[in-house]
Amino acid sequence: MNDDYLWDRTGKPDPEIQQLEEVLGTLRYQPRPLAIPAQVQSGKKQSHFSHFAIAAAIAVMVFGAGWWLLLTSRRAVDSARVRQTPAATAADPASVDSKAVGGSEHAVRSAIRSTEDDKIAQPRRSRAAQMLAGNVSRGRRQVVKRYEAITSERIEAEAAKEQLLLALRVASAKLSLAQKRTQGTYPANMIRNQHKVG
Amino acid sequence: MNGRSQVLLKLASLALLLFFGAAITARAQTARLEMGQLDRLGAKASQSVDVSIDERMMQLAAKFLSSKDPDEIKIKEVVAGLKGIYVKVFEFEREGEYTQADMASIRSQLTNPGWTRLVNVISKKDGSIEVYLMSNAAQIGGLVVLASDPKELVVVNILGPVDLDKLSQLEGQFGIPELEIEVRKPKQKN
Repeated sequence: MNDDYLWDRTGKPDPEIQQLEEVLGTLRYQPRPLAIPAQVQSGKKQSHFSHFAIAAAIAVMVFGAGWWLLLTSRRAVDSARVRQTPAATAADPASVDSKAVGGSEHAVRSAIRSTEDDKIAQPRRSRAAQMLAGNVSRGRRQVVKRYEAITSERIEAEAAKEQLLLALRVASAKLSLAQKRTQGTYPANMIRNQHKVG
Repeated sequence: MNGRSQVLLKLASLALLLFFGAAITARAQTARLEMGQLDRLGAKASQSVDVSIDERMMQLAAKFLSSKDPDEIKIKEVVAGLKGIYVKVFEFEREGEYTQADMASIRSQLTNPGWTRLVNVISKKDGSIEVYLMSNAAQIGGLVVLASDPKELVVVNILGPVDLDKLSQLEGQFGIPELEIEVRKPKQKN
């Protein structure tokens, strides 16, 4: 048997090998460009990371803004406590005048503008400050109320105790007097010989 | 007026009668005296004491009595069952500032059933002193001490079961003088 066809496709073709060639020929290598499946997207991981980064940045910004607001409101509460007057005095025309004293017309305008800006910014700050101050004062009021209740109850109880002792003193003194005078009047002791008189 | 109206009128009258009867009975059974009529004497008195301790005040005061101090423990025991203590003391600079009518207004309340007069000492020089007890069944329901001399009028009204034995244990405490109400042993005959 000549095996040349099998090795280098020369000689007489073997029909069995040809059949095999036909069957397996469909699976032979066919050069074609690399096609990326549509569902596979390049840089997907990077996209997740960017979303996370954006969310983190927003969170940091929100946290920073909250922190700043808290600090500002605390400062406002502190200053309000120190002055014990509302912060609205800055928006007072008198203060504008005082800012503009000795200045030019431009200075007066800028002072008015800054006062108006203050007016806009003030409600935001003062709202937070009011909320904080409201919580603090509410808690303090509750503590003060509880303390006052305890104190007043204690004072009332002390007064009641004093009155009770005074009443017992008077009652026992008069009973004692009755006892002594009865003993002076009657021969036997009073308590043992209790009987209905009236 | 038809028959139905007459029946309704009778029922209403009966209900009113029952109501007032119950009120009068309740008033009679309580050991609390009405002492408001004596308040006008406060203006004449050189010194007066007015103590009104109701049950709530009594409990409040008892709460602040120490549970460790033996003296205060005894006081606590005495006031434990009491419903109230009311005291009025009037001291006058001159005689005749109060009248027998003032005394009678108190005495008339003590003629109600339940009150028993234990002591009645009358002296023109030293004045009079009366002790009344209200007894509900086997228990003492209240005590009244009515003391008067020409320059002083004292009314003490204690509500609730007064334990004289326990009261006697208060002798000498908190300025309370000795009551000497313990039952003494009879003297042995020689």
